[in-house]
Amino acid sequence: MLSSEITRNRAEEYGFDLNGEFVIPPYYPNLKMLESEKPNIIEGGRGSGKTMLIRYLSHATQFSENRGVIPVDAYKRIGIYWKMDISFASIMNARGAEDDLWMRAFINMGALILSSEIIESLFNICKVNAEAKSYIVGIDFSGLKDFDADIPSELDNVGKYLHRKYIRFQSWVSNFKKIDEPLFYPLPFVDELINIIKSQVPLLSDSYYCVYIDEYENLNPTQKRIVNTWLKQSQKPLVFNIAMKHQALDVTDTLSSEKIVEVHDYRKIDLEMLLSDNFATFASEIFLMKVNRYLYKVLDDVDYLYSSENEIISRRIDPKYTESIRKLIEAIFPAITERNVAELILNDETLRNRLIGKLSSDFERLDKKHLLESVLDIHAPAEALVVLHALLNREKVNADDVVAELKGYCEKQSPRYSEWVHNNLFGCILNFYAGGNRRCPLYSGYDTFVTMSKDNIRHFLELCYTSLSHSDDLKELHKVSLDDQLVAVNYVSKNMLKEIKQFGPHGNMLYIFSMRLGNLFGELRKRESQSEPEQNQFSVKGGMTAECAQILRELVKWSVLYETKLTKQKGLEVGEEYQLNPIYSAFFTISFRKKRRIELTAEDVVKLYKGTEADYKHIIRRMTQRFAKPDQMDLFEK
Amino acid sequence: MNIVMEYGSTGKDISQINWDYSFCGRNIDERSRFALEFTKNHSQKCVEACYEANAFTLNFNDSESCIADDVEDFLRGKGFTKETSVLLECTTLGVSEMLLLMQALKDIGVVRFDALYLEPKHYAHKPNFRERHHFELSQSFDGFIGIPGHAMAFERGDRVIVLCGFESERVGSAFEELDMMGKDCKLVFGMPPFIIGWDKSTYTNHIPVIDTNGISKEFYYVGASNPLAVYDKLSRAYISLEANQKLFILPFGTKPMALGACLFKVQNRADNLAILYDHPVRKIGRTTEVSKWNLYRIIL
Repeated sequence: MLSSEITRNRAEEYGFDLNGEFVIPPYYPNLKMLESEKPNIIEGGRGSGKTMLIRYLSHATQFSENRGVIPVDAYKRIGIYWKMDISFASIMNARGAEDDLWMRAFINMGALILSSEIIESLFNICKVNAEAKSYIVGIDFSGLKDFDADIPSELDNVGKYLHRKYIRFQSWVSNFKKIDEPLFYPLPFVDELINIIKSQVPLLSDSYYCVYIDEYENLNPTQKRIVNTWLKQSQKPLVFNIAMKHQALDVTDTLSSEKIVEVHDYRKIDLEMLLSDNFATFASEIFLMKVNRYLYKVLDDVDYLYSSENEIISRRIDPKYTESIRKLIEAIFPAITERNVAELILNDETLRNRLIGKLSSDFERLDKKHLLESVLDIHAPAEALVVLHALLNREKVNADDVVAELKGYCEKQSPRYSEWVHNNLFGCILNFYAGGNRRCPLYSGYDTFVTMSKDNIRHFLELCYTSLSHSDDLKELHKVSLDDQLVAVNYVSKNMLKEIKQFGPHGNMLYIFSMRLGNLFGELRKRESQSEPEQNQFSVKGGMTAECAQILRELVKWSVLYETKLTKQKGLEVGEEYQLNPIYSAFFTISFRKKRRIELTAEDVVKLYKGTEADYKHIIRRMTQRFAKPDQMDLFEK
Repeated sequence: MNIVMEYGSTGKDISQINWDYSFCGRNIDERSRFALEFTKNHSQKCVEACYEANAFTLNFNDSESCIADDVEDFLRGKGFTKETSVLLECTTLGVSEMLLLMQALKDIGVVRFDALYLEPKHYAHKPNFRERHHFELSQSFDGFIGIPGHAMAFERGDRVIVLCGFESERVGSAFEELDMMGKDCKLVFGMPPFIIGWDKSTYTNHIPVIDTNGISKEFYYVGASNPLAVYDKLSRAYISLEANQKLFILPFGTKPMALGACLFKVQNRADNLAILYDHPVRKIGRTTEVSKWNLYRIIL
């Protein structure tokens, strides 16, 4: 059983001090823009590491006692992390009150939370800087009395006072008709607080505060307009940044007639795009760091992973280094090639019999029973036999020609058969295993984990940790067997699929869509001919409707689907294609590789989302053009 | 606070009272039909109450409504006094409606009221063997929207108690939305369940959520049809709070468990106690047949 320390996989579980936990991402030098006073919108899907990043940039980590020497720069730009309780924020709306009341209330909440965090940052600085502490403990906050005559002047009491005020404010919001309205603070209260600090603490005289509002997408439209206004008006010493999922900036209005505009008002930072080139190494480093700390020594040193120095980060993207990391993790999660999987099939009596049974039926159906014997006599390579079943199921097949090509392949003289193997082996293996009750070995190995994770660090780590927890002899062998990996991949895939239900208010509908789409690809995989293997994407044919666009937007926002520009334009298709998140592929025994796509209409997409079972079955029938009978399998097959 | 619990296998086995007012929800399955029939036959006035979480309004018989903050005034306007005898038909009412109505009754001065609940015999679930622990209960959710009078802001270090039902994804959603740490969250399971064996589905469904979020493995158990046990469990957790800590209750379990949670919240109007709820839209035909009739005779 693995310790829960190693398997922690959500930023929230780490608390706010991430020293010794946060591996500096390789894109960190590109984030120099974070140091400018221009606001940033940080975008990334679930598991992209955005919460970890902005918590790392915030004061609890930057002024941590565990950090050792605090660089001077850290005092210049002080990060404030703010994740709003959306359930509570939601009730600052309607309820028979004017919009203006709730807007002032929301601003007051912002002022109280930010002020409390700024005071908290002072306490953190006191822990790591004795000289600054001598000034901080003596700060006179009486300048705030212009806003609130009751506010104390001493540091110790200001924080407590603000927290009590916040609790009373919460009570008022909840019962605003029964409790008198408290004194609201405007945002300039925070500016004044900062100015008092800057003027009395020499170390902080040039400092400014960077607020990171996490999960902005959950705010209501009015609250988004308020935050947008803060963003637009950002200037030192208080700069606002927001973090959100992809496609979540649906309100660009401010409280005035102006809108927030990219470049002019903010820069956009797409974490997945920044990470894409180095995802595999970075995700592996995080995993190896955990193995090193909690299981056994695998790295000589890990301190460099926490360094934000450019020179050290450059070394981490050097090909020699990335190769060394790759070798370390590949040794833990060994892979198997497609050809080796084909050999596994032939070397296993049950599987071999099943394959030969299929070929026998094929030749019988084609009235070429005698060819089976000659095929078996030539002892063709395993991969050639595995694809042969699909080839014999193609339309207008000439079995004699195919067998002749197979013979040529055995003598390395059939480029045609080589191409068939190249194009079909993966799909044929998937289909072969899907018809039985064995787990398909293609879902194993480090490279597969990387592809299935698709730039999602949380998914990658989940695959790795779950594999470790299924392995009994990890500590002795330092590797996870193929079978243990496969059990883990299936478990993770199934759980991630179930997790969709918790993706916001429409989680159940998103789940139904994913199940239906995955099963549709599963049905398409069942074509014995494998003429279009590995279909796991779709594009929208014909016109896009507003409803379809809205559904796709929600699916992309939660990374259930990945949207990319169409690679091949066909007919009237619109310009995007959508891939089902490959983490779900093992559950449906479909390909995790980005391969072929099908065409759906906007109406199909809507039906997959909210249509009846009959609607869904109609789509399946139309797409498969047959009532496929699943392969009959031997009940006693192991 | 006390609850006298009556139960039986038919409506005839519980007290045959004639209430002044009863509140009920919509007819969505077989047991709803029985519950509504009983309620209508035993009350002077039967009013359908339906809460709209996004608009914060409580609608009555689809013809009148009031905002959540004004339920007490609304009921007073309808002639409710502390003497009015009231039945809450909890088989059909949602948790938000129960909470808002109970708070209003308490504020009016009502000290005794009754709650009816019919346990289901079967829950509808998918025929697929792979999903045998998954019941089709909710169509969608309005999301975590605070209920006026019962919402506070979650802050790091606050405590969470989840009353668990079959839908573990609701717990997962709470972790998505809030800055919660698993160690601050305790799960309460309905044990014994309505029908022996149903508890297995609840545990099985929650395993991944517990693993993923590092939720405390110190679980609590209360009878699935025993609101008093929930009240008692919450009281114990509440008195152990530290200064500046708040307790958030997530009533995702059975309706009697939610009844216990609502009673506890209504009896403790404090700024360190809150209900956090995700407002499910219940599926039509989610259960079949009736197992047990429960009448809870509540004394505040």
